[in-house]
Amino acid sequence: MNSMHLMQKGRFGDFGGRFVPETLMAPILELESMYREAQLDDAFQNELSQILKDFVGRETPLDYAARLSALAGGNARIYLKREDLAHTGAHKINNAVGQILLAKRMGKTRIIAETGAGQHGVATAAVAARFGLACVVYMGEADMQRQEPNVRRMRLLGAEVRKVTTGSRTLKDAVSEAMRDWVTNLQTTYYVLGSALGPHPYPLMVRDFQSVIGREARAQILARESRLPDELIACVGGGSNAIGLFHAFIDDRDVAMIGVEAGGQGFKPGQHAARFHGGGLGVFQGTETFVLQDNEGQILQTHSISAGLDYAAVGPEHAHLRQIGRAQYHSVGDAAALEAFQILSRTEGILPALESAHAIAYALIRAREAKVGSIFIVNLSGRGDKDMDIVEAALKGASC
Amino acid sequence: MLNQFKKSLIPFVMAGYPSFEESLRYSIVLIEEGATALEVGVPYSDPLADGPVIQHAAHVALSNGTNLNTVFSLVREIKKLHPNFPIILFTYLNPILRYGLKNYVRSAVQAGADATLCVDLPPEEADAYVQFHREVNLNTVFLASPTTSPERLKQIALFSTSFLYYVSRPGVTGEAAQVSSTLAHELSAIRAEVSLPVAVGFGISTPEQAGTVSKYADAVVIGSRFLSLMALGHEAEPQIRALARNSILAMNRGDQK
Repeated sequence: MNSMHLMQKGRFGDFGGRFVPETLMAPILELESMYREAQLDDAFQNELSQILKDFVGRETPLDYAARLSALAGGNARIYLKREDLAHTGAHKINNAVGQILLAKRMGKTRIIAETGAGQHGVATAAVAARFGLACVVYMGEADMQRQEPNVRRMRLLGAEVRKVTTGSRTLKDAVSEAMRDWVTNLQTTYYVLGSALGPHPYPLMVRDFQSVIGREARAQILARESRLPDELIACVGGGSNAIGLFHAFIDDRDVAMIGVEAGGQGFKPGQHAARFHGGGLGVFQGTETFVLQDNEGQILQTHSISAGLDYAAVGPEHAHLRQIGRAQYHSVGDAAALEAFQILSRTEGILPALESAHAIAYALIRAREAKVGSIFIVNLSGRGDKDMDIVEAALKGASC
Repeated sequence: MLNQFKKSLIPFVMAGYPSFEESLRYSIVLIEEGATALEVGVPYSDPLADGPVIQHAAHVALSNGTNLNTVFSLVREIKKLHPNFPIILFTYLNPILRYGLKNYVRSAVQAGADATLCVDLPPEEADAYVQFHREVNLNTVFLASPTTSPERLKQIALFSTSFLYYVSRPGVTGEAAQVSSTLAHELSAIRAEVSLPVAVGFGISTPEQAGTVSKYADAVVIGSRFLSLMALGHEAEPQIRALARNSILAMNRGDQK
């Protein structure tokens, strides 16, 4: 089974579609058609591969975490797919490169993006700079405060960072503002959506650009262990790093795929971002999927210690994979993620992004239950430099 | 409903903004001043097609506890006083889905609504929505915009009853300095394809703009400017009345040119 074959009307099974104001329908249809053309164009694919190699630094290593594996009981050999070593420090750059090449192909001169943790904003700003394109990044005021180092990075890369002060002042409001900008500036502007979310074709396109992670990981683990892994584990905000890792393994039924959502501070509304735990089916920001919402269909506020997971909806392909039983989704709270952040730092010498720390935390739980000789691949979606202030503040708070 | 939209003003009010009572009172004020129909906004937490004024109004209305039942109450209250006055609900999809599509349509009819418009529901996804509306003879209004292709326009026209809502420019709701210079051309192209009356909204906020647009359109929607005036408090009521009255006058003068 390949989820591509299931796509009808831009859907993954029952999820996805396109739910946008009429003015955005034409650019979305144009984008879909241009993307289909680009997929079949060898020149486009060659340029993409070249930039991924020379600018992004692919392939990223698959790193055996010996001390982490031992600490987790030794039943599982835990490998880390090192997306934190990609240029700008996260998997986000894979998608930014792909979409900006597409923007160039479409003759657009201005790039806009939204960002939560700032990694997508930094990646987009970097690629826009590389191609000499104007770049505006929308970011919630709350996220600008907690991810300030990335705000500075974006500005140094020549991007304008626009503060979003509406709603929860986080990622969902930044997405809305980016869509409003796009609808107002259609002629010149390309919207680089940062996760496998939004109206079709974004979830498909972002999945495709990120699936390089899983293709590499699959070849690397076969070369290293001569067999496929037992489990893939990745954090899920919108879900682009997870779907990027999972995609190449979807047909390998014996490989379990586990997404880890943000359990935040508990399961009361507003305290977490675990859409599969507390959410329901809804339509949000262009796509039909699991959404955290109240009884009136209003979108709920969310919370996570990691800005990149702090989002009210999950990518539609994840909703589909869960519905058909191909992937499982669990959640990990702030405290466990914080602990995993420290564990990985001290056992492997790697500061993980707080987003990725959720996946590490869950891998530690799973490894203790795993049968001896299991192989896990955990996607280390980004590096944690951006999170040092949050981690230090949280640790100080915890010790008071 | 068709003839009612000839050279008409359709003001937009947000249910529950600034309060339920005021949204009712201003609705009546606008009817008294000669509006031909009202667009009643259903507040939504994340309104993609709206600019800052309507976003703010929606958040205030939600913080007042406004929900779809409140919206239906507002429609009922207006209809008690003006039973034949046309009311169009202006909504986003998620609150409808949560309420239940069939329940929503049934409740809208029972409250007395005459039509509904769902901003983020394109025709491609609207089969069930349209079917449920048809079953109870509730009108469906869909948006067309300067980016709509001729093929899509046909589908939009097929799904629209009573009138077609044309978005005057690429962008979100809100006041604009001037009316799009290409509007006349765009509307003549639409009229060549579509026999429905055409209302134009998004970016129209002054009597002068209403007058200009009404040369080409059957109806003009003014939203953000009314809400901005409502935000000023009761003393702004004369300005609200004047905006409605002067817009209708300007449209009528435009008619004579």
